[in-house]
Amino acid sequence: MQPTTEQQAFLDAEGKVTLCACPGSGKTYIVGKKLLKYLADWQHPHRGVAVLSFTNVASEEVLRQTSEQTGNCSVVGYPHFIGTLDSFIDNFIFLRFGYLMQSDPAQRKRPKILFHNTTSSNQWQRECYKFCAQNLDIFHWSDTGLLKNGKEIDCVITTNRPCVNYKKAMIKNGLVTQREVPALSLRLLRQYPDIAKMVAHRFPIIIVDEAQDTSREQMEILDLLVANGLITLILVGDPDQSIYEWRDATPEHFEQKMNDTQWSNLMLTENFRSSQHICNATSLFSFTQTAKAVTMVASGRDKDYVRKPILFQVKSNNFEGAATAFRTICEAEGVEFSSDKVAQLTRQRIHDSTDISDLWQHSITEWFARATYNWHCASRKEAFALCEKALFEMFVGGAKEMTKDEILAAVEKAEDLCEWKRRVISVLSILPAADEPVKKWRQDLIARLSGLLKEGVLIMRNGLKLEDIIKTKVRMKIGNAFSSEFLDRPLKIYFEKKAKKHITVSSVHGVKGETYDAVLLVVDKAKGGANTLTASKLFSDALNNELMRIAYVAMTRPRKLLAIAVQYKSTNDLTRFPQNLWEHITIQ
Amino acid sequence: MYISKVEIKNFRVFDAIGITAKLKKGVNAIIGENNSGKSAFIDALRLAFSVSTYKKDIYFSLSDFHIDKAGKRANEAQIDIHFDEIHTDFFEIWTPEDNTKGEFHIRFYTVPASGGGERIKYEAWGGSVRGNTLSADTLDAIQISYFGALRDASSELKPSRAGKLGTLFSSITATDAAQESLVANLREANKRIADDDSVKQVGGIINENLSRIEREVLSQRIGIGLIEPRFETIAASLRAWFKPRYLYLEKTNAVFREIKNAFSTDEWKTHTDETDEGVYIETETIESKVLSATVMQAIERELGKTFEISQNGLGYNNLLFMAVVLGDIVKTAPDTLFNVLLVEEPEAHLHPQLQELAHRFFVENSDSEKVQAIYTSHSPTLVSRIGIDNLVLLFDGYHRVDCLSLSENNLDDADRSYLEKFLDVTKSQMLFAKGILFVEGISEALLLPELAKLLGRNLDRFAVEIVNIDGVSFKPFANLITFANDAGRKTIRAAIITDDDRCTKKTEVASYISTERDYDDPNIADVVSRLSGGAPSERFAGIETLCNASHIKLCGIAKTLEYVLASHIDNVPYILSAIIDVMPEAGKTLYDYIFALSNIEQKAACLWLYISYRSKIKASIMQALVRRIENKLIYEKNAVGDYVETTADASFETPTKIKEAIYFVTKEADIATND
Repeated sequence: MQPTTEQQAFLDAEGKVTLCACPGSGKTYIVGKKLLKYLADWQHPHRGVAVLSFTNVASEEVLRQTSEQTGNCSVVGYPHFIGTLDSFIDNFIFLRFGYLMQSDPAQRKRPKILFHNTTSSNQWQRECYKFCAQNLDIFHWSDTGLLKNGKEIDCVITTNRPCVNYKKAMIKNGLVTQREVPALSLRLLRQYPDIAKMVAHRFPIIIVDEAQDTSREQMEILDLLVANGLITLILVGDPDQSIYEWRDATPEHFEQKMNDTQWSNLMLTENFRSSQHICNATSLFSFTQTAKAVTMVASGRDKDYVRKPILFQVKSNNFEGAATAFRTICEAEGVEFSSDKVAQLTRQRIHDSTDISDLWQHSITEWFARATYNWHCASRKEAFALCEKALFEMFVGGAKEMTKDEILAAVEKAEDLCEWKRRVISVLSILPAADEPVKKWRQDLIARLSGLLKEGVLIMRNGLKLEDIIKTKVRMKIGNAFSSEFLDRPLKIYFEKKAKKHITVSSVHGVKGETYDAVLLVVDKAKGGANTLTASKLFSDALNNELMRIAYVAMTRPRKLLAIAVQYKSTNDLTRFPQNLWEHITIQ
Repeated sequence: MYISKVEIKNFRVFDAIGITAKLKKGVNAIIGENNSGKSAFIDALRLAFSVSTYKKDIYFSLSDFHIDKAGKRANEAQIDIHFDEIHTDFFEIWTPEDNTKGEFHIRFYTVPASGGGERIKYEAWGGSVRGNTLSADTLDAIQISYFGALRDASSELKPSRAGKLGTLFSSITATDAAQESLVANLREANKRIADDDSVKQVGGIINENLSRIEREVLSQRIGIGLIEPRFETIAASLRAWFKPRYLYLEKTNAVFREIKNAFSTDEWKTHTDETDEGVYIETETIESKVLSATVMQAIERELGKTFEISQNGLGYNNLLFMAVVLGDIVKTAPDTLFNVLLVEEPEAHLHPQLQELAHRFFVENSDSEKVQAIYTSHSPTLVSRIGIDNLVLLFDGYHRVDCLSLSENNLDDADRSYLEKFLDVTKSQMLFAKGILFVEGISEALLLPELAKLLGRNLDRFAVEIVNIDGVSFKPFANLITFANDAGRKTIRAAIITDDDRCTKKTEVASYISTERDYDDPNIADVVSRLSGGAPSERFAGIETLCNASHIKLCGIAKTLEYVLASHIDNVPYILSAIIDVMPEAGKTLYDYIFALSNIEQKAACLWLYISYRSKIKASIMQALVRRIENKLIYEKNAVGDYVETTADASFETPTKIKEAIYFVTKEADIATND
């Protein structure tokens, strides 16, 4: 396949480059091709190209693309790096050099990133009446100071604040959370420009995919690398698809580069996925395309698909009816109604009301619960790691602040690792099914673990009781009454983000980057807060906000058939859904 | 880039405190007495650099952990390697604390094994803090070449695929095209050979027999040729040999005339050796000549009668081996950023002159950013060549192996330039000793081994080296074996024996003894009183200050060695007899003169004056004295006035200060039985 003119321009670009890639424009393909172009005559055995994405899934996709294009799956190893931007910063900056932030040179050690909120840690004083240090996910370092909920600490104590001392003690002990790693890395690079030079030397070419999801701190790190000798920095992304604000991602940093004349600013506007009808209809929802007055040009197999996108206006909450109508249309249009081809999307998680705080009352319980879900429904590797952690906590304790390697090193002092693995596997194999209701799951788990304890397969340190460490919330308050209904629901719904039933049912976040023949976006909420997508927001909110971008991501998934279901109201403003671009159907 | 520091703990002879060795760019030598850990040092480097690569040729075993004095085996060992002027591509080793430096570390430790017992695991990290990854790829960028002590150059050079020659050849012939053209040549040669009638005949016989045995079951047939026409087999069958320097041709040889004609008269003179029957012609010259095909073939035939590797001497094979391996280093793959050459005893099988050549060879080949050579050596020749800063001394520092990098010693610039001149082959011996006695001159050098024997301290057995400074420049030598940052820290046991030079300063009128005075000085009592009242010289006081601040023992001798020797009544007959041996007539006169003196002080002063006045014969007297002490024989004047040789009643008595020095560098005396 010959590259298009736009793609060729990108393949030839060097230096500081932005590439705004519209949905379906073959972004991953062209990033893979660019990477292969570098690799073809790479001269540096110990310096490499880094291709950085926002998620592991996206990195794996780049790897898959490159190995597909070469037919060789081992082409991108050392000295190159393919992974997430986070793991790049972790591995090549913070974890390696972060020890320099620890004040006592004799005590310096490689920092550790805590992936679990360690509220139970009693290593340091947390005498803070506002409980700032209780939740480290929202209490973290920025590149200038400490932030709680994104704001500077507002506290009557002005000197020697316990929360500040606590965070300082964490740094001294080499403990940080993933969220603050970019900020701390930025500080590190500012203080030690030599590190920035060395990283830029190690990776003279960096390609950042999904650049619209880059946080300010991450972008400043990249800027520092450029200032310290990075030869080529390529930012690839689509501001319209930035949907991770809750992870500090906002498209403005990428947009700033896109509008910076010091940079080569390129665009991919050909859409190889969707029909021209979908391109035309969704253009009205793209901030970038509206601002630049461009519309995507459909170039793929289905570019001439004739059916226009459909807007279902649903009366009396009959969204089931909309789904049935959608199915009928799919079948009439010859779209196979399967999980590979068809997706039904929502803005929120697919299982309602699964955010129950402190559902798992002990970290061992949570690890076993996650392990159960992962073992039966997702990643067995992850299940193994979780189970290992839980067993170590039962056996020795302190697992929360330990990395996998540290756990293994501690185990190794006591017994042969093969023996240990056998223990972990014995536990994995007795984990109850993920479909079991939480209550029964707990009872079964306790019974089976005590069986293993009796057999000697499992060891538990003195003073622990299974009933205390395998424990869930027993009831919660709903309105004025208490309910324990949540314990009767299957364990897996508390973890499931995406389900493959007859068709794929998922949140929009769950299908980012994916393609289906037909997509139904369900906007069933009539009203809601800032995070809820409602029909009225869809009709009239400004385009450069996250809810609109989420809708846009959903709408650009299908090749052939796009449908949106909203509440019918006589006052619905359909300016964004003109009849020449959309087919309007009312569901009674 | 170069290794600047190596730290080793709990590995073989190195204990938990371990050693720290500083290295320099270029060539470094690890020196020291036997069993001081030189090979352990080299092996530690080999282990460190091969720890996570696939091409290991050394493994850490349980017996590599240090065993302490109580017999307890350590269960972890650590090796730390530090670099300076680090190549910027070594991201994982580089240290931001100082951006020109880098380091990596390896810790070996034991864990319980599944069937009981222990297993060894290791942990390696780059940079200064534990846990930072050190990938195999990084270590692959550092190439280690190792020449073992018991290297068998001839078998290493024998044709084989993994052999040194084959490796070098493969790295040079790296492209497909180059390999294909070689294979084509071999294919052609194979074809010609196969076409030869006799070869065909052999093939025919074998095939016939084969078919008889197999009865058409397998119907396999064989082909006959040189070797399989593949690149690997060519690489594996390469061999190297020394071409003879001269080609011998008899004058009756048909091609003699044509060869001679190819030379000008001058050339013939310089490049050949003619005898009556034939001529020796330099191979190199003859190969540069354009000659007819017949002649060339004749020459090839002659040259074909060359030496196999196994027919060369050990020394030459060693040189050849090093040349081949170094060739491989220079031609290494582009992903190699740094080469370390580890050689155990490059002097093996080489006479001193070849040692010097070998050393120069290392220096020239290490003179780049990419190569550092580290060798162990017992060779004073190499040590005296290499430069003080590039020496690392391992020694048994009071029952534990310790290390002094001579770049870290106490030398100032003046000391250094003095030693660069005077640390010759003979004096370099001291660095391989367990103990050193620094002395002023030949008298001490001759006499001390004999005195030590009398004390039951045979210096050879205690590996003590006597270093004759031939003067009083002790300071550079003392500083050489002293830590700059901690002069009192023990290194090699060493003592300085020097005269206190009293009574030599003219301005001190009361104690000065004029060099004009001889043994028959009329006022010997005056000499005695001056000697007893004289104060040690300023020079001596200087050495005293130096020694007081360091681990080196100072043994100051009142006035001179001869004087203190003569100060014991039992020693006087020995010295007199030795003088008689050298000066038969004058000696006897002296004998009588001394005999007549009333006290030992006067006898000693008189003997001292006699010898110092005649300093030219001092060495001869000392040699004679050594013989006399050894045989316990002295002259005695009998009743009729004849001087007859007889066995002495008393042994020669070693002066206290000298005893102290000898005990210090060997083994402290048992106070109960001595003195």
